[in-house]
Amino acid sequence: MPQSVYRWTLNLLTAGCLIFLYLIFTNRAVPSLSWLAAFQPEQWQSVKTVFVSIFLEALPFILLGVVVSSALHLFVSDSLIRRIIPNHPIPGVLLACLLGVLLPVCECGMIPIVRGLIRKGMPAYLGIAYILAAPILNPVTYAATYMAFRTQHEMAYYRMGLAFVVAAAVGWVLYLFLKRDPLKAEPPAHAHDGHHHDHHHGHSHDHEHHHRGGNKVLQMFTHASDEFFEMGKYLVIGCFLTAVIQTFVSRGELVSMGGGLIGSHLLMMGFAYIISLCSTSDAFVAASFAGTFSKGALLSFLVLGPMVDFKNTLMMLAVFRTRFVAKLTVLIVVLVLAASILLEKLFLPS
Amino acid sequence: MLPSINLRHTLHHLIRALILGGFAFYIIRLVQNDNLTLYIAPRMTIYVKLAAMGMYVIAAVQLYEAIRAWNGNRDEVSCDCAHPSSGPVWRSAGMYALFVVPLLTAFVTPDTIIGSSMAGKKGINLSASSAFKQQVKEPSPSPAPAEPSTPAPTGLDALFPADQFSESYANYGKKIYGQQEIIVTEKSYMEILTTLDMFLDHFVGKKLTISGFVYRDESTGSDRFILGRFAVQCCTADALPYGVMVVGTEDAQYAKDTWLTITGTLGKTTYNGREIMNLKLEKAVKIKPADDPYVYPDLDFGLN
Repeated sequence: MPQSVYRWTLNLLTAGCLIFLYLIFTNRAVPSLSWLAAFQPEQWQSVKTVFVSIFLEALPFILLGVVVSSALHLFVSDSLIRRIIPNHPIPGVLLACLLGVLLPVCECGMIPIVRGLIRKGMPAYLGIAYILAAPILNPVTYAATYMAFRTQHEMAYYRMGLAFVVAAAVGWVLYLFLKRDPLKAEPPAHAHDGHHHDHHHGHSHDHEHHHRGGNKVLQMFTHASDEFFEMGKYLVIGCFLTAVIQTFVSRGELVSMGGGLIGSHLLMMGFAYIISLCSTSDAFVAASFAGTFSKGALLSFLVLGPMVDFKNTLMMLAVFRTRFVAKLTVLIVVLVLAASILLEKLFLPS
Repeated sequence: MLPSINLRHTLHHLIRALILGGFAFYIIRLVQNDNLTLYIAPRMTIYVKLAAMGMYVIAAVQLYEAIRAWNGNRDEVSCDCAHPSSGPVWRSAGMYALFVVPLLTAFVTPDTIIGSSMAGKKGINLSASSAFKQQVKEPSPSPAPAEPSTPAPTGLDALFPADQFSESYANYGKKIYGQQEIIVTEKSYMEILTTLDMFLDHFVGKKLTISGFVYRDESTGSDRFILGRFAVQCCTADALPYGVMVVGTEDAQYAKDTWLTITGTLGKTTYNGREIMNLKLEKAVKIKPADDPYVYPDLDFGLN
């Protein structure tokens, strides 16, 4: 059932998307939708600007992601992956969390790579720990946070530390409790369930045998194109809705909603979720709230945003089961909230 | 059965080739029109250009696959991991529309800059050094760390106390302290505003020249407006508006989003409970929006 609900949502979103784009294109509001007329044309142009800018910024990373994942698929054998991945969960998760230091890929590019690795036999809990930790625990994000909080360097350290703790905790929780394969079922060739559209890309693991060697590079690009279209549709929807939110939701009104300790943390987390910024630039946005919110609330913004956000959730849904994504999101929110409040109480007395 | 499968495969590969090529072409056109920086900060554009090249390559391979499928090359088709032709046609059509509609829309609508309506939603920052001020309020008793080798008069050092974080701003402050007129340049827009805001007391009464767009809301009223720019880190989505309050504008009613170069006298005022700088309007000249409407962090600031 959740799957069909989800499919309906996707269809509705698509329809909404098309309607909005029609309105932008024609630069006018349909009379029956009078509330839309309240928005001026320049706001629709802002939607376009923000949409194109997020999309173009994500494009290189998602392209890199699908090419690397296709190369993994065609050139790296399952047994090699199994051999180099640690078996024990404790060093395994720690390693997965720190891998971002060496392989910093933006979160958009990471999802197809991790799916490829999981299909090749990497335990899912390691893949998730990597997806969560790598956008934050890497030199680029560290430098950006350091720059944004020039007078409060501890923010960069706390951000790294908090992200590490949360990602490792999620990794271990998944190790203990995750029994099912979190990936969406790959439709076998004889599938008759009609769920194809979510994953055109049901390849069988043995078909490498059919390939003639000389064609492998061509196949890699075809495979990359398949994955690009599979992930890309979620990217388009995510970018579009993010652009609409950024254009029509006022930050001032948002800020006025948060009160109290938990309220301010939740508010900043919700804000991080809906604006879906890249982890390299969100620190500057967080710094602009320095006078308004406590450091703990800013940290919850800085740690949650790169781990789960709107655009990211849609892309996760392309690959993982809906239920798994929902549970993972709740787990991350609870852990980030608890850890950031604890940190604030212990180390950041105001 | 066989021909129709080939036809569908051909179509799918063809459509994909067109979409990928279309994205690449869109990026290249943005580069040619110098409009890419309306969306992406200059230091990130190289990645977008590389992405355009990558998409051209993938599009070419898709075209090649389309031709092979058209020629009925079953071998290649069976090797194709994707089964794009499975599922009803409307679903595939919907999927491709999701790419084609935004792409066409982006193509045919003009590239515009974000202005005051976005600034209103994001909340314009009138105190560029606010992130530093908390620190400055609680100065450490120890003297400022070693000053650069150029000996500066002790009087100036006392006026511009610095720690390692604000050192570059303090040095810049010393440099412009003697000038009667200060110009806020495109290159160091944020850095100069931060310096002025950080050591505002020393600059009150000096002349300042600054360019930007006019922003107004309920709080500004008719006798003042804000002149500002968006500062962009990576892409326009993370743009944050910074500005200066301009007062004494009763005789000069500029509409919002008008681009102006303003010269005025620096002063202080209180706005929403915070002390901010303001500019007493003396001269305003309408200008065209800057070629690059956004400002970026100046990585060379403090190095010379």
